[in-house]
Amino acid sequence: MICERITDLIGNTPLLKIPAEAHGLKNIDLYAKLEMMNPFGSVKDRIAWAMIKDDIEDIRAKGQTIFENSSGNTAKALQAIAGTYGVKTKLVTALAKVQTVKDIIMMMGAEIEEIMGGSECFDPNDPNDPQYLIAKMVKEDPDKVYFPSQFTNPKNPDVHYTTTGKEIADDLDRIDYFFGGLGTSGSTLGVAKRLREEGNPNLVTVGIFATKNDYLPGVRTLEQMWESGLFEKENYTDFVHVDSGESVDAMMELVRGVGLLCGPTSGASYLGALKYLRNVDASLIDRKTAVFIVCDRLEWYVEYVRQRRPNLFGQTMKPGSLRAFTPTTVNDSVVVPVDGAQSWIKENEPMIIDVRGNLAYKMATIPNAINIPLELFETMIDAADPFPRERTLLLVCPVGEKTGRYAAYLQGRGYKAFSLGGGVLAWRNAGQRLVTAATLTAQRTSSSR
Amino acid sequence: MTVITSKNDQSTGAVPAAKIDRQRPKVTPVMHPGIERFLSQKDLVFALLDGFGSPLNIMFPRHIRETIHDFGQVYRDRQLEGKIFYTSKPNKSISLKREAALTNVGLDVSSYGELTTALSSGFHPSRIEATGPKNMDYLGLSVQQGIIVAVDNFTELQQIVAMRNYAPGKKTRILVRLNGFSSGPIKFTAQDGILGFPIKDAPAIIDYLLEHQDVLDFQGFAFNFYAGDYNRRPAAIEATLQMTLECIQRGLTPKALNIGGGYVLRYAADQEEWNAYIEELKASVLGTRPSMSWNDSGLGFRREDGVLKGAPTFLEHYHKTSGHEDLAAIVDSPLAAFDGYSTARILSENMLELWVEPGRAMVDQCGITLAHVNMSKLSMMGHQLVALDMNRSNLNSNQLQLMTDPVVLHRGSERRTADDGVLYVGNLCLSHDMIQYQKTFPDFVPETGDAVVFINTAAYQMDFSETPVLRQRIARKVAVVESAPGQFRWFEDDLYNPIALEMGIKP
Repeated sequence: MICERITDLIGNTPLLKIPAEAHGLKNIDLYAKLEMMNPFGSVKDRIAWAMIKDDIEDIRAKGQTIFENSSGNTAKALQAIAGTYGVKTKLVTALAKVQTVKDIIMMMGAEIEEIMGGSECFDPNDPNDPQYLIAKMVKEDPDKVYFPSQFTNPKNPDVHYTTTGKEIADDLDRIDYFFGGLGTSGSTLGVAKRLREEGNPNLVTVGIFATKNDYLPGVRTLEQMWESGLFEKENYTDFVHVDSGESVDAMMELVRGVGLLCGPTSGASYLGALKYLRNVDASLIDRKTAVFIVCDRLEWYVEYVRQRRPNLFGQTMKPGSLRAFTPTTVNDSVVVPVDGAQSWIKENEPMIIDVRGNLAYKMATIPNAINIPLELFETMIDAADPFPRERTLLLVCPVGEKTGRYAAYLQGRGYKAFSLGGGVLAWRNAGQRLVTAATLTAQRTSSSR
Repeated sequence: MTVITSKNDQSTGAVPAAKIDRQRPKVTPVMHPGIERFLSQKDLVFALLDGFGSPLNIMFPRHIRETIHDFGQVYRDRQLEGKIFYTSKPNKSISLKREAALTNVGLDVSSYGELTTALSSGFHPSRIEATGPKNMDYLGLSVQQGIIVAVDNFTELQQIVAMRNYAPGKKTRILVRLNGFSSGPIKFTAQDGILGFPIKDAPAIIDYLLEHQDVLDFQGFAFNFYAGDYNRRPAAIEATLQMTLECIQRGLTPKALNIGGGYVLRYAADQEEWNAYIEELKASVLGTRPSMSWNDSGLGFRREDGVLKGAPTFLEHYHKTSGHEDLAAIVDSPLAAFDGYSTARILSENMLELWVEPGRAMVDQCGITLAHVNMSKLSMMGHQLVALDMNRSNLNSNQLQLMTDPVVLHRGSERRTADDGVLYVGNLCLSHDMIQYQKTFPDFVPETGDAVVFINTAAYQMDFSETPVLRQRIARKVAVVESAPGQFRWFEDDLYNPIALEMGIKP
């Protein structure tokens, strides 16, 4: 298969039948529309292309920048396409909360402007609305700004009517239930309209919402939906609320059990579908067909998932490792008190290791200390024997808490390791001398020259 | 329309969505168990309200200790050194300040009057920080008393230097308040500000501080954001930290970074209830259900071409976290400009203290506002009005509406159901003296002589704009302590003396 342009790969995504043992429904066949298979990885590739296709040559000729109100996927697709035409994009958003998403969009070369959304102290004159702000920017500089406006552009539902909905209708004879997460509401609107026209006028369309005060990428809460110009409540038979934690759980079922590397919003649609369908499954007489949308991919949600389900990342603890070590008491045999630390240092000539970050070390440290930041230090002592056992070690951290534990652990493994009691803070407060690392002095000399 | 929710119905405190009556949606307030126990003693509550008059503010000074402890735990868990300054401005209560003076918190004052109150409430000058715009009286007393001055502008800086001879030890501890931050590839839409120095002046400020080290004892930089401003705060932390380190390299000795206040306060008890209420309010603005607000004013929302527009005139009332958890999240989040290290780690590793100024969050559950019902009647368009013996100046903060349902204490036994909800109006001879602009749905219509109790009003609402307008009463304050479970003692607010109480001496 040879394509001329990356945009030729948009659309014509497959339907995957979810195995019955995964979803457990008796009388319903559940299909996933794999919008994650679009070239930039999401359902938004379709609308991004549809919204700018007719104008992109003109946008380039005028040297315009594309502004869009997006939480991520639309901006990414717009930037990918616009980039191939040498056109710049700018994402204006109050909803881009996933750092990785922002990072990727920035890597791709788009600019991000964050709206001061959600300020608790209300200012009645602050419009505080990306849609309004972009409209204002367009008005101020109509020649330079192009605003596709996914929340109001009829091309958004239209492309789902002409492509996504048609593809599903072509692949399946009759669809009884259709589930989609509600963002702009363009995909559910366009697809449902097509499915009703092509096969089943009694199609049950269920919109999936995020629980308020929760955040699902690309999905809004019911009240935010009132603010989308495309949203038509009458288009939906029902709504299901889901929260982000359980959506991640459902996503993991698809990832681990079905091999579908999809994102949390897809998990939300799957979960919403199951919540709804489990209620109707038992009472069904005929076999029914249901479709939900898999809107994007897993990879950029690693941090999002880590925040909500940290246990998925838990490594098992090796016995004897630092992680597995809990000191019974950090006692005198481990701690060198600050009073008398000077003479102790003179007597024992320890290797002094400051485990704070390099910046803090450079700003001020104990004379003759070397710097091994704690991430490195922990890895070193966990995985190796980095110091000679006959050499005395004096470990230094901010207040002596972390190094107390390290020293106790290392003593248990036969090292002559000690912790400076109260850390560098106690050292300073006792009036002991601190030094600024030489590198910094050098930098200062060179910059002042 | 059925709505299936994801919320586990067994989860504590949550109202199952199925049980939410969307015709008559409620917003149950979060209530401290001590406040619940107090309100259950109806005779006492009515005696106080009748005896001191309506409206009446009841303070629960002991409750501030719990919040102070929670904020302190954020420090202890991270081995962070520093100071918590309880912000005085949301509430004038003396009892709260006297109680707080017995703990280890400092006090952040923002006027001459607040400063003298702070001193007389038992705060040693070393524990007081003077913020805000300053006239000569305020600045002069701050300098004389050795208060930490958060300097707002160059004029103040120059005035402090000029007053050197009046300062103890000829030195004044100062913070420099910065504003106007921006950072990196992510830009912020411009938002103008009044308070603080523009960050671009920082080099000139550092030069000035170096030049006047003999007078200005520079403690560090400060800034302040409102609750929920999660986008700008990290950029501000990064910028002020970088400036702090630059100061150290240039020979100054800053001790702390003051990240100000802006930690959330949870008013509504239940997320599902709050969601449902707001959804119904918005639906009413779109015209798909009967009106939920006075004259269909929409509390900031409006209908435009069939679409909902506008922004609410009330705060978000439900948060998953409380104030101290909000602070913890802020100091634990990684800073891009510092290799992903957290604020807590950078501060503690560089032997810098974290100073905070919680305002609203600090007085969470510290006060309630009570009023008598004067009468109930129907509006011209047939809405049920309940007229209270208080006015909107008694329950107001920066035009922000309190959205939780008041608790109603009935005196008599005759009850009428309040099927279509009620609107609370005040005692001013004005056609729009609304206490709440939204409809609430009590079980029964409050009648003459009943008490209506607004919960958690210590944070600005009870104090911020009270006036003797039309010569109506200004609310008195009464401090209540629970001496044993279910046993309450009360004092006029300024007669509350926690030291005497602790010593067992009857005041």
